[in-house]
Amino acid sequence: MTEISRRKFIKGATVVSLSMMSLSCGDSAKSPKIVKDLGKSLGNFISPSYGDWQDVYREQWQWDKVAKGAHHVLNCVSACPFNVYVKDGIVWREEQNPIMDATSDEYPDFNPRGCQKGNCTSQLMYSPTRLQYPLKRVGERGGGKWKRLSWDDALDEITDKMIEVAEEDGPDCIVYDSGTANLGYGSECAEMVFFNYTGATSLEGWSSAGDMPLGVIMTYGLFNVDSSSDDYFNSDLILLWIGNPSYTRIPDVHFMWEARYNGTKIVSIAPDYNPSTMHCDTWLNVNIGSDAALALAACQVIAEEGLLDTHFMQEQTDLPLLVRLDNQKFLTEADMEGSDKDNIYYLWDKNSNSAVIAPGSEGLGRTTLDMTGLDPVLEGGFEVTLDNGEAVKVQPVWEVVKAHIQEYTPEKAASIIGVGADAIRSFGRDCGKAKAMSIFGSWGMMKHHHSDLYQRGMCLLLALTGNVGKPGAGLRIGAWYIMSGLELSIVDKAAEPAWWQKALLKVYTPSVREISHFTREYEEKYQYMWTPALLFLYQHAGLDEAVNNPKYHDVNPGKPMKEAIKEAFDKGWLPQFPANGKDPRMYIHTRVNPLRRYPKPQLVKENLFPKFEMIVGINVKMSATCLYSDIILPGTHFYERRGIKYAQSYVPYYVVGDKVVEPHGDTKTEWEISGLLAKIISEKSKKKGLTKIKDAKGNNLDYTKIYDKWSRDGEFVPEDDWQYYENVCTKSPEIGNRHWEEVVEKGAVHIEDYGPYRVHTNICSDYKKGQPTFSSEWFVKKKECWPTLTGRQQFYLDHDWFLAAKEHIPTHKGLPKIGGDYPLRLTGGHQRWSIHSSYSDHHQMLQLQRGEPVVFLGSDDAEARGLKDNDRVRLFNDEGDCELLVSVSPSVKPGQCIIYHAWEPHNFKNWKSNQEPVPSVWKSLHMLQYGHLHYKFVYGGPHHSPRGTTVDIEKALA
Amino acid sequence: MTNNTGRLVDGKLQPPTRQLAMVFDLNKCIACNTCTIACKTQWTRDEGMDYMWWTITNTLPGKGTPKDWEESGGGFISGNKMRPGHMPTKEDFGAAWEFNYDEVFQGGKGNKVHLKPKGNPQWGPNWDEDQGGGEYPNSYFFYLPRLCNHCNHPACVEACPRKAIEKREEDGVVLINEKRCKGYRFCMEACPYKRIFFNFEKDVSQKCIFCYPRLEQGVAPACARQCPGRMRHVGYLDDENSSVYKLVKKWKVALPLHGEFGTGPNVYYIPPMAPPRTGADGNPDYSKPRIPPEYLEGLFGPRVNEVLNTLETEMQKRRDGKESEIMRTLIVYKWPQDIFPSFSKEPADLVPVKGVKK
Amino acid sequence: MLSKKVSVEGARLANPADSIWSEAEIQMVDLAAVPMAVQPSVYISSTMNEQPVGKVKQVTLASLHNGEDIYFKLSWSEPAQCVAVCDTTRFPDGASVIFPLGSDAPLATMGAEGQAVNAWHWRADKPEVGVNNIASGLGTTQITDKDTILAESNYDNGSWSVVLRRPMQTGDAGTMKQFAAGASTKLACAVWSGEHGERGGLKAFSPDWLELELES
Repeated sequence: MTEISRRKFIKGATVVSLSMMSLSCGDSAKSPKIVKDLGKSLGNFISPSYGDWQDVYREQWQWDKVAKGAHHVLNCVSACPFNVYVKDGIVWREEQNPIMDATSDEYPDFNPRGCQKGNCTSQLMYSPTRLQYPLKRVGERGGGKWKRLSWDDALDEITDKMIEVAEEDGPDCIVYDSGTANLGYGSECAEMVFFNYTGATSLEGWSSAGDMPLGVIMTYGLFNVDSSSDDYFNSDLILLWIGNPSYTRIPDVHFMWEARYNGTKIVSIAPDYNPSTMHCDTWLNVNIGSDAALALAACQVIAEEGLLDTHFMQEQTDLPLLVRLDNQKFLTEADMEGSDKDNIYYLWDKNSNSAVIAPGSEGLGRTTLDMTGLDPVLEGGFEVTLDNGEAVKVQPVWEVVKAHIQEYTPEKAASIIGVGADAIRSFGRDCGKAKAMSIFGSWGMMKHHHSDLYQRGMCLLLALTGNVGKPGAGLRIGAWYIMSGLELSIVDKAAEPAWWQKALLKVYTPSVREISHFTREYEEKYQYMWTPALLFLYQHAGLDEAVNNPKYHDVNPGKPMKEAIKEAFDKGWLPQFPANGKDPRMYIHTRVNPLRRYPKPQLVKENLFPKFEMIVGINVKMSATCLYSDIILPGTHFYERRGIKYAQSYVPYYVVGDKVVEPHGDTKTEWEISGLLAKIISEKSKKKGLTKIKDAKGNNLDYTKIYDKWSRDGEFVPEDDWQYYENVCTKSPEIGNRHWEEVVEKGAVHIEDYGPYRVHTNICSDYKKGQPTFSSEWFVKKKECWPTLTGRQQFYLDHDWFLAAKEHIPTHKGLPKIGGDYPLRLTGGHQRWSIHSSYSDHHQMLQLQRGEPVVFLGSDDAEARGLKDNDRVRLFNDEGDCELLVSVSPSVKPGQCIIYHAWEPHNFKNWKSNQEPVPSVWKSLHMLQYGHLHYKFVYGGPHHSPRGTTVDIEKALA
Repeated sequence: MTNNTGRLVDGKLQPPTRQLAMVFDLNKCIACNTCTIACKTQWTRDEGMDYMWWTITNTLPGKGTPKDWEESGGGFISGNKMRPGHMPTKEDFGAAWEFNYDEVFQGGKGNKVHLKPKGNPQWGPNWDEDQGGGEYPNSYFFYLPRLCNHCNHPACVEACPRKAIEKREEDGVVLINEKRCKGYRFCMEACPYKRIFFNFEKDVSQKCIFCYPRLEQGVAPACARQCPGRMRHVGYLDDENSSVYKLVKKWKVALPLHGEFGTGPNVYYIPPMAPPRTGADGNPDYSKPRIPPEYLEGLFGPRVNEVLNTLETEMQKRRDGKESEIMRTLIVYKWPQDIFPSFSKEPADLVPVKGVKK
Repeated sequence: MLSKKVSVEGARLANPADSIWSEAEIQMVDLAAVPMAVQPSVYISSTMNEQPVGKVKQVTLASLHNGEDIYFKLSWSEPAQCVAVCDTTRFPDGASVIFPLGSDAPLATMGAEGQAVNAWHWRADKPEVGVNNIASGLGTTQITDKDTILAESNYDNGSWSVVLRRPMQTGDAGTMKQFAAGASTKLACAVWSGEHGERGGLKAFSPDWLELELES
């Protein structure tokens, strides 16, 4: 849209209905009148007449005011402060607010943070994709016909249905889906809290996003780990491994290329020559699915060449722990002493030449990794006498692992990896010799079937070289700076965690391991009907057929999937809501786009959606899922409301945005929507006397009190969220307990503390001014236990399923042909032009591509199929198909095709997206509960793994 | 009034008092096109400007935008002997496709229609994104941002029969006087870089203005200031403190693009490095560089391989723990003063008063 | 050449197809290409020597007036009509009538410093208006008015007919030629063939001033 038509559009909104977002319903009183008469506003200032033709552009370089904006309530990992320029009551443009200082003179600064998408966000506000008024479907679902609703009517219909479902079948038949988009630090959190108070089922989005670093959880017991972007300057070796930061870390990636100029070596490990590979020193063009083999081969080289950091291995890992050769289980105190402590482990101490209890073991309670007086042995074999008198042979884990990696010498691994043995050896040597090595693993590495094995291999590589818990080292996936005030501000007062307050007051500092347990208990206690989204689809959408298909699993799955899921449900390892096999009846999706994200969305439309009597969408834009909804509530855009961007570790600032302009159209924030829903439900419940609605955990919920809980007994009102922001800021020591106004005036504020450990934070280091953030210092420097069974980085998992699968130690497995017997592997990654599907339909982003989805295919593969660049092709397998354009590139590996994430399904013919052929089969090992492998919110369970699906491509029929 | 700056008068080129220049560091460019959007948002959303991308970053090797611009002629053969140029068409530039949003969202047709550009386009401003050249595994590509080169001897200035194009005396910025321009488009033919666009609505030619209203207030151009890759250096070529001066004049590691076009461009490029080739045995092959040297020479001239060697030597110094001023400059420790020292003001701090300021 | 005074309604005079024009005196004017060497563009002069321009060789010129408004009709053969500027490579057909504002204004250079000419310019892409220009040398053409000169045109059988009209006395005499019945003036004309990329100085023009007498 041109500026002219944009203005017309906005002006038009006050006069005539221009698009679907402004369908007339006679209620034009709330239409925005934000455009001042141009003539009048010109009268407000003196306009000297220079008569110079160059004034034409000088006159455009003018504005009425500048305020602080941020792109919160958007699932973008970057946090970028913006100055928002307002002209004539509308946002004219935005430009980065460059207030982020360098950590010290030794590091480049963080300015200017913000990508091409952030720099045209204001245009989304006035885009034809923008939702402006509540809408109700007319005709069939997905038919594209709407009528405008008033807010009163819309909320009335929604609350009627919620109450009806809660009363008749229980509130767990209401399904709330906020994906990963709504977990910001802003007032949108109130929505999640509200649905929790109702006892609704909450679909847990990490599961469907494929963001769960399962191998890291297995090894570290932690959700994620990461550092600040300037910490790359402390690395002398960076591995870009299953990641393309040139696309996905636009505001941060300069630190890598600048580090390279500073002498850091960067290695790209990727099948395709990608936009990040071009800036690397070395490219290992690995075969798809061979990443674990590469890690093991590097470990083999390091072991063989004596480059091991044995101290680190002894102290921080389970590699010295003793394993019984007879049953391959850890040697435990139960074995040795006949006690009930099967979670106390042993190592062989060279000093005493005996098996001694290993520091860190979970059964020891609060303990440390301090090994003073011990000299743990890593190699060899020993014999111990058990409590029952039996003598058994034992070996340290490292002995087992070391023997296994002999299968991955560079020469043996070369054919798996598809890279020459010399290149592998030289890579391993570089890893072994690096003073500080970091692995940019990103979120992409989680989206593979065997991502757990990739990560366990990478973790092993880092452990053997001692590259954890120090500057410039470690795995980079993701970690957040928390704001302690968040939970203290928003939740039901009764639910404020006592340990958390104690931790804040520094009365007691719980260990990471304790907090892991607390969190689990907390979720149990305070309802939280979290259900992994993929399990929900397995049960209700018909995803079970593909997931149970044995052909889509390794020959040694550990446990057949169907049996694994049955056992997990029977034993309560995984949550299952709605409970007792009930069908869901109502679906509310907010700022997420499940039909875009879910595997095989055709199943969702066929099998799941018909079960919903009402589908409600809350969004700022017309998404694919909104198109299939019954009622759509329009959300308020970033610059029209206050917000705090969630703070990933890349930049040590909290970024906030103010309400810069009045909302365009008749929109509301999630804060107001959830507050009004709470209010209306409570009022209606009072009339009906609904004081005992039974939730799926057997609690009686007093629906008349939902609003009191939401408002914290009147502290909050739906109409204004200022108090929330003030509370969050003043209760957060991480920002020095500053007032909201002070923070928002700047647009961003530097962290002052990392705060206590929380499941998302995982910095696990102490904040030091002038030093980049790096994670895991508490474990490595302070010797705190890792939150695993052994208290150590745990490479050995002695559960029967893992043993049966031969995945009890880091290993490589071939990728099953998930999708069927087809010659191409579908890969992908976040694309340059969108944040998930946000911005993906922005006309300028589309104009800078081909305007339609493309699949990248190698030149030879295209030729073999008779395909020319830009041909319309059909991509298909046994599970589904879609049509798109082919972009032929010699940079794509033979046998590979790439579709970048994320196109809206309605970008595709018949709205059949590239997710339709993707069944996203997870591993049965991810179903079990064992020690630190214990499901909690965003912490394990089934997991979306679209990458590597087998497909083929052919020319589409005209 | 018109001046003779940038023209050949009696065989002598008339230089401006000072000349601004940009240096693009291709080893930091990620083609996010934030520059492109920053410029679009700032200047080219008005009537008739939809299809204009005054600055854009494309993939090389590639046809670029407008399509095949490198083979489109224009520029100078010698002195004032000019080379005939091809007029880039609308399709070469890539039209500003419109999309059927309303039809999809509210047309009542359901999934029978999907969101797509109107008119089945076969080319666009960034059509060959990330395709590149070579043969796998020795494929290669890199990114090339372009804008008006604000040349020393601008072909457009010499082409315009109406003297509607001026090179500013104070900073060498080349501007089209849109009041004088009558849309004859000789400049579009003559410009060898094909960075001039025709406004069909206003019947004038338009192009990058180097953000002179920003420059005049000490603020760097939008494309440079909003570049999150921190790869667009801006400064006066005679300012010995500027990174531009150091990279272009002192260390001579920034090179003009297609200098043989004869216009004396004032946009310079740090040439692209690349990882080594992969041999048939899957091991690195150091016998020749991944990006063919002759290809780079064709773009950046005969010195390009010497410059790449310099960059490698300087990087090695850092790996060995030795100082390197060149690397320090390319790293850009302190933004904005290290990357556009004369234009480091924060625009939001300017007094937000409407009206023309000088 | 005589501009006859007629007493018919303006609408008829404005219509190039109206029979009233059969009463007008016509003059066949031979046109020549503007030489490349004099083009005020290094690009044009150094690259377009061989380019065929000045494609239209002859224009039929006629004029009528009714005492208030004066009408000029230009007709010429143009086998490939160019109207809309639908691409960068497309240029509209066009025509001008040119008058000296001072008595000695040179035609070959479109006037000179202090000796301006007044050109009424019609373009096929905006066929209802004539644009009032003044020029004092090649490349100096400047639009001063877009409202006063009106035009009607038709394209038929490979030929354009265009009538430009204007009140005889109007506006600023410094930028607009003033006409009076009984007086005479010099005039010239130029034609652009869009098909051949003609625009600006790439045109066919009448090399010498013609004499026009307005019937009283």
